Amino acid sequence: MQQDKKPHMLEVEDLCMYFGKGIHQVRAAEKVSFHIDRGETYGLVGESGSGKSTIGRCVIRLYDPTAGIIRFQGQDITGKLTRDREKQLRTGIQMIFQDPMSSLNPRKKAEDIVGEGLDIHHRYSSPAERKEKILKALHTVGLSSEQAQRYPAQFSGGQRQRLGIARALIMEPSLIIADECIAALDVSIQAQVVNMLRHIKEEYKTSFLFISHDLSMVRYLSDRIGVLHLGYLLETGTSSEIFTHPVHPYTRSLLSAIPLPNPVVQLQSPVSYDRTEAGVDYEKGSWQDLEGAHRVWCTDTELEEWTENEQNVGE
Amino acid sequence: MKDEAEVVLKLSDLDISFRSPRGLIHAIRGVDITLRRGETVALVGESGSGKSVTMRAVMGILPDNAVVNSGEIFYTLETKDGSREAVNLLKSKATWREEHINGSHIAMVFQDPMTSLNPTMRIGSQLIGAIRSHERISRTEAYARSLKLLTEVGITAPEERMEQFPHQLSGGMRQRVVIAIALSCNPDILICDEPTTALDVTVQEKILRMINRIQAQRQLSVVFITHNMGVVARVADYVNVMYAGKVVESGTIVDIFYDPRHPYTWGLLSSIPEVESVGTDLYSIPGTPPDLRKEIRGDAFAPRNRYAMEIDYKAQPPMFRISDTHYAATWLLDERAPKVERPPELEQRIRRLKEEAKQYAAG
Repeated sequence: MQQDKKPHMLEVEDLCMYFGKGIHQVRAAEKVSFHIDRGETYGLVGESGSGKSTIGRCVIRLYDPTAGIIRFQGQDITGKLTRDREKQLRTGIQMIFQDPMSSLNPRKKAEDIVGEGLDIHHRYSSPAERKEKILKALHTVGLSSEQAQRYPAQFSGGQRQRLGIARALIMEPSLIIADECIAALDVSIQAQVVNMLRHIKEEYKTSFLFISHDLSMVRYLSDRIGVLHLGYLLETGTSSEIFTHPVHPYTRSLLSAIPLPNPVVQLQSPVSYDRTEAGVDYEKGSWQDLEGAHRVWCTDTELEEWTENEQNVGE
Repeated sequence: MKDEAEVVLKLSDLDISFRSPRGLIHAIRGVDITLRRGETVALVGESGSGKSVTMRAVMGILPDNAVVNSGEIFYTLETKDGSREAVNLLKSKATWREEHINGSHIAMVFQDPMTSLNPTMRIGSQLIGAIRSHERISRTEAYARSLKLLTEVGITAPEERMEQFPHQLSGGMRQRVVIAIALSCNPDILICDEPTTALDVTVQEKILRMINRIQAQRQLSVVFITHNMGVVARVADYVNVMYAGKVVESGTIVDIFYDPRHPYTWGLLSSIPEVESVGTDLYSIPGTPPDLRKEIRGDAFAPRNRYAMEIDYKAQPPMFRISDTHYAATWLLDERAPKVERPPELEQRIRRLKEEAKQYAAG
């Protein structure tokens, strides 16, 4: 389709990631395929253990995928990388981690933490330029220049997460992987960081892979969403497609269980979903295209059954 | 109003500090909370606001560096002959409390089930051990009771589960086991400290449902500590919003969600993303919570409050009474204060919530 015109920012095709061997083998990701366009935010949701973080780590090559292809800006980044390719990958993709404290070196000053990427990749010609770049990144995330001299312990949780974001931004990446980056923050701080991510996305046209289990935040921030369960990407589509017309029973059960912030409206009894009970075998599935960007991983008969039900409900 | 006799737990003017290498941290600065029989009270607030510390004080499991400066925690103890007596838990001996109150009258469930269960012991022996440490009954009796408890918290095939180790169970199952252990000695009060934060939404919903059911069956009083307003709306009868070691607003669930009065509560409610908020900025409370090492003059929320007045930096606001059930600590409610409207986005949201509620009631 669009592939002839311009390659996607990131393309993941049939990604498999297995850990261990024999009976102890854990299949963390199974034939996962999705793509992210320039300036787009793709949200990955799923319960803990569904493989969200594994996929993020495969993309940034912290793990070596068992099978499948990952293309970044049209180039294959799986397998052994050439020096140039690796360099392109290390500057082009940046990651923001969940725990802001454990991902910052406690013995370094804020400016050195943020500037570390610049140092490694020699991205400046003079110390003054380095300083200027660092201060610009700090300002973007709402930190002041005098805070550049402080150590991570002197910052609050929200400010530390801002440091982590500044460290990612300074490399001017094309893709940022945000792995549960707001989960460890307080409610009132979460909104600040989420707003900032949104502004960065609009200003720099950066693509985001937003990994989270918080469905309402994912809906708020993402253009498209992928729902993961047990390593399989079960359903993907735009935020509104997923939230208004979920097809897969797992997605439906997930959406029906979000607690509403309205005390009088009691939750209607949530759709229960048990994979073995429902007789859904993920291994037999394949991608079934629906309207627009909406795709579901299932067999033909399953799709027929699920969409039929929806029509009945509609009447 | 409800009868005073129904009060099972009453905290008044609780004030706690922690000794730290860099001076005293004034974590709890005068907290009043009332819990009635069969009711669920939610404590809401961000981390560091003192929700967990308050409830740990009730359980008597504060860390060694904690200093209780003042306050009273009255628990209504029902003696065997049926008479009721209010005991000040802060004045009672730790050994007496461990033997007679903790577990058998007040039980607590923590966030991470893996840290409350012993990974080297089978589920069965942990349950039986908990029961037998409080009551003198035989192992067979305790075994039978354990099976019943596991069934009560919604675990299928309890006989098999009894033989398993914690790591063989899923997160939701583990939390059910922990709740079963907490219920094993028929407590009157169950304190849940973020019990579903580590679980995903579908499991969370099942656990909340289960707690609701058991609460109705056993006439339990539940204290629910959480920062998720959705969960609060789901479970609570009464809400206490905490900020920097104080309760800043308290009211019934309807008061708090449909008629919030404190600017901090406004911020909390507004920062929940909604369908309508896509594409616009989320409302966020500027700044960060205060450093409790320093003495706080006036209202602790004032520096982050865009409606703050001069008085907010000088004197602490008292709890203003809005109705018999609804109280808030903000100078905005003083009769001399200028009339301040809620932010229009929040006003809209409340209107939408009410509309939703009306539709729901209509069918």
